[in-house]
Amino acid sequence: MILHKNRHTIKRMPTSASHRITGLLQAWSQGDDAALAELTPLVYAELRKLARGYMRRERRDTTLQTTGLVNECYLRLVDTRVAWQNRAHFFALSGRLMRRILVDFARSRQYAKRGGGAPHVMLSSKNEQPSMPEPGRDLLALDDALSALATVDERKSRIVELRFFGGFSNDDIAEALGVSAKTVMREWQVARVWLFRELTNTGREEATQG
Amino acid sequence: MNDQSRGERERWKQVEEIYVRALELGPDGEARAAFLDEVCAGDAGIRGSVESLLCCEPLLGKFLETSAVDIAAELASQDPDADLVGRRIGPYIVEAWLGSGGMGDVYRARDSNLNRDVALKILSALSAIDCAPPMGTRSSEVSSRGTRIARLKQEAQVLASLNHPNIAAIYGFEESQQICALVLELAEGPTLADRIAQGTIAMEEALSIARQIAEALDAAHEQGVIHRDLKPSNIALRPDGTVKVLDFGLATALEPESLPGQEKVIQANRQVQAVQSPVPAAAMLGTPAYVSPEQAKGRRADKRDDVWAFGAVFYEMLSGKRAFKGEHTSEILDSVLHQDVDWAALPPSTPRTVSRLLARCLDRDVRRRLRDIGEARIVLEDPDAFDDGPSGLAAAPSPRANRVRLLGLAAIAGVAVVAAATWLMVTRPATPLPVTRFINTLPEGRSLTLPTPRHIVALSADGSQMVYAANDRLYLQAMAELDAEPIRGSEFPQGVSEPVFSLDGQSIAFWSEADQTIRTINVAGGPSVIICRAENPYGLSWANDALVFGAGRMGIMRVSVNGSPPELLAGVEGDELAHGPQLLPDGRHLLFTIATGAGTDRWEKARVVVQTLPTGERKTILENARDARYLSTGHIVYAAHDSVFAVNFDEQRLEVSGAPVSMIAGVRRSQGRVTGAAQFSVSDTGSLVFIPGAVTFPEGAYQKIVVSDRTGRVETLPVPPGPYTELRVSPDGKRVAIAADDHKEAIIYVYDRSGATAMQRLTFGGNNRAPMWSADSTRVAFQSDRDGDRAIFWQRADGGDSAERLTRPSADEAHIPESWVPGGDEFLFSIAKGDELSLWTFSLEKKQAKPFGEVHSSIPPAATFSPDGRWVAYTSAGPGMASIGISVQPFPPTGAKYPLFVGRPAGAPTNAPHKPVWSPDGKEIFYVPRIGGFEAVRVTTRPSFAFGNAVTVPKAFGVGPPDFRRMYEITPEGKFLALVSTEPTTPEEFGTSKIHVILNWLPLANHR
Repeated sequence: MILHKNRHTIKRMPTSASHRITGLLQAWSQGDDAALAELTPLVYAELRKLARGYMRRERRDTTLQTTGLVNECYLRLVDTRVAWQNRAHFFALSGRLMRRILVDFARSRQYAKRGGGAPHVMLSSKNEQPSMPEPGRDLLALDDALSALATVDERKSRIVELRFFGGFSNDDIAEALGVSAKTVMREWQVARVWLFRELTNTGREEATQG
Repeated sequence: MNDQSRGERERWKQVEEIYVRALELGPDGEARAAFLDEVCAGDAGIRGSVESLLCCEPLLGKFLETSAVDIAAELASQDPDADLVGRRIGPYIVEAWLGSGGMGDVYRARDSNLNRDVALKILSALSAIDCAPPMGTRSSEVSSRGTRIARLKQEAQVLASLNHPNIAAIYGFEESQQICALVLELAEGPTLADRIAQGTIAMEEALSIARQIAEALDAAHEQGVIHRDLKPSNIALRPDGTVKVLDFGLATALEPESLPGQEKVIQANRQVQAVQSPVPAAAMLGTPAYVSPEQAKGRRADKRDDVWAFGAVFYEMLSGKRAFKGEHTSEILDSVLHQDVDWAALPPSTPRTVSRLLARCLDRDVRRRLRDIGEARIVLEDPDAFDDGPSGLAAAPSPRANRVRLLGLAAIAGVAVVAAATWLMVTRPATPLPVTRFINTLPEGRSLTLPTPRHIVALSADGSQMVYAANDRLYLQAMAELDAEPIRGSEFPQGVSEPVFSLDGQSIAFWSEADQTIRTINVAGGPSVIICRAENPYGLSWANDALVFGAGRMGIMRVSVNGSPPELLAGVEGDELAHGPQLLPDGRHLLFTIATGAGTDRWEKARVVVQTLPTGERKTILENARDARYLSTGHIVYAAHDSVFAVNFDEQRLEVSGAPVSMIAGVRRSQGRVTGAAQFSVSDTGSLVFIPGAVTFPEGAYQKIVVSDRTGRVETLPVPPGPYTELRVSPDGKRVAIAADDHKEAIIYVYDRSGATAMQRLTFGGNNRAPMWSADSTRVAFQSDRDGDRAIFWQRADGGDSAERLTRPSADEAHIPESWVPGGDEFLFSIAKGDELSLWTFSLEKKQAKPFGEVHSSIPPAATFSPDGRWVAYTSAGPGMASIGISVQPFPPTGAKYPLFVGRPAGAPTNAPHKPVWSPDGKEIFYVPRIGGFEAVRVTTRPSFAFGNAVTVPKAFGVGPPDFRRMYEITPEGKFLALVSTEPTTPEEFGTSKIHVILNWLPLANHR
């Protein structure tokens, strides 16, 4: 068990003991507001960097990925003298922080828009979804929808938070939530459908008529 | 509310379940309908909900598959919501907003013709009034439009002729879509105003900045161009230390009324008026704090106004405050005309020559003012050279110290090592010389052209010269000289890279990015010769009177230096990329690297090949390797991962022989891993230069290795930061085994504390962890999964043999080294099985393991022997960490157990002592008493074992929680060797001023 196939092999604990460490981490991360305050400018700076990459040809060669961004930003917050972390908790907190930061970011951009008519933020890559209906698909609406999802299905909203906002892989999410990667994949698909319906109101008419 | 939400949750559970099952039925509508009829049993609400989900399912596409970060980044790329971003103005595609100036917004744009980034300065005044008159504009304003635009174009042409590395060039004037814009060189970076606002600028930096400003003004004045609005916010500081003076001549060019031949309107007058009239500040030209007294009085501007402004800017840099202050323009101008400069505000370290220079620049008597900015440039190049004692200038302050001179001396001393080492090598070639390493630090103000995907440093074949790219030009370092000299004529606006010496060392070939050309230049400087055009070459080398270069997807090209179009020497296929060619001395074989695919790890997986030219036959000589160079000594030196290796090469059989020797760990690699370039170069004479980089590409926190004494004073070892996890020092104290794990590969390195060699990679293949030294300090044992299980192997610490297996775990076990008996041939290891670890001893003689002391724990025991080998301290934790603590047992075990603390800790389990280690004299045990703490407890072993009092020990390093292995170590001299997290560091953030030099490394490659 100690030396299971996980890449953290020797230094990792059996899962039961990792639990306990969570308590300590919680003490450290009491309220994510402090963490949020420190993290936000870092993420914004990284976003600007990424954004510049977007506009330039080297975009193709950009190696920075979401998880890398999250890791990098987050690690700056960890007490530099203590070189340890509880991965599961790290994932969870990162997902939550990234959600707040990115949603705040989108909100600030909306306010900044002249005339108020902010274009919607596409939740899929621009060129891949030309047929998507226009209304209601920005990050802010997604944030609301995700909160709504949490009231009926907490775990699915966490999965979306970790994957979409935190950029974590299914395996990492599985570790964070203590479920199998297969479960994560299945629930992710259902959550997408749920959110899609919420954001587009697709099928609502039929639903009410039926 | 609670009931309601519970109801909703349960309802949703039902919906989900039905939805999932309906989905499994496939897209057959009838089957689904039948199924829903059955399960929903008339509950229309549930059925509607399921149906709406089923409706959405096929529409999902890539919904939510782009991560939020990417989406937010796309949002950011539209910042601020400028309408121009994304628009095309002439050949320019506007990409991002950079800032707003007095004249209008500045954007970064892409020149689609020349494929370069530029800055577009939108002239809002001209755009609004002249280019596109809004309703109600007076006709006289409209009529002047054509004239003004014509004049601007003319001026822009003159300004475009200014070509100097310290002048942000003006490329031209663009007028389209009712927008008028100046096209300027893109000079990203903070302005001098930003820098001054941040605080004092160090003397050396200030001198470097001032010198570059002076160079820019000098070059412009030569062409008859006056800046006329020099101020800190018009001076950009690029990260590499290059200064770019912006907006040259724009004040003049944009002055609405100044037509050719007409006396210029006095801007100072306008400024004075501006105080009384409500003209917005942005509409004013020039800046009062930096105008000269004669300008303030309304005289015509000439180059001495720039000299004055230069003085005012320079003064502000040194003193941190403005030379002339005031609340309003009129007050400021009054100060310019009448106030004495506060010379006492200059820092005491200001060289005397510099304060004298300032006084001459800020002389109100224009006839006595410094006549030529070139003089300032000359003084600033070497302030000390002009220091001939106190001058009679009354205005000049007398400086009290001369830090610059001291720094100069230090630099000379550093380079003297180079000279001495080179001399040694030349004069005593017969006996093998010690391997010598040192660091060549570039002087202040000069920084290597990093990050870059291309090589920027090279040695000549005889090792007597080095060339490197810095500050957009090449520098030649004769190894026998004290400092490098810039190579005249090698300056190009977007910098140069891929410098390589010709075989005779007399010429250098290089690549200029601006015009995408390969050129050659004499080492002594002079005009460079264009050999051919080459887009983004992948490595360059000489082959007699020809050059060979990688052309990526095309293959390898050859071009004669005597001029003739390049020819394809070796093609590649499909998604192969060719890099770093070298023609072997026989002229028939070509050595180069091939990478496949587009992944970021393509260069990790690249292979080094030799192609026989006449036949085209290709042979792979090294896998997972890149950027190879053949040396006349019969070696091939190449990069793999983050290291540089040397291996013997048989030219006849075209194959490598023997084990590769690790020369350096932590070589800087190409930016973004775009090319296979590793920043190193070798000579045939046994010299190697390289630019250090991260040991691996960062994925998480990096650790540096520190030595700390008991008072908590910390010293960092000269080892590149890496993803290190633990350290173990050899019993003789001479070497350190370092475990690193970047989550892709776990590697053990060995570091020689004498500094004689750089850190060497010890293990190859599999994941290797938990190093442990043998009692005689010659070998390192470790856990490896190289054969599929998790067994203990050992290997000579100098890498002189291959790893040998010691233990054979059963399928559900893992073996982990713990501690070696001092002076013995036994060691302790733990066997992990299920959730439990147990301690065992292993006898080398008997090749046999047996349990030790009934130690079972749910966390790593972190067992350590006392220096006399008679005691073992270890940590143990009961199931569920109910009780946890440190115990000591005699060795061999007698059944006695002395607990330091074992029990249920208060609060969290981490509040229990763990990770004991003995002091070298055996009288103390250091341990972690609780999270964040560090203590020592006295121990006595006679008449019986007992613990004394615990004392707190200051520490400045991480020790890890109980469930991690011990990360720190104690050295025989009683110091702590430990890991300290660095800030997450990208390779791009590593230093840009250091080149490491190794002399006489050949014996290293042969000693095994």
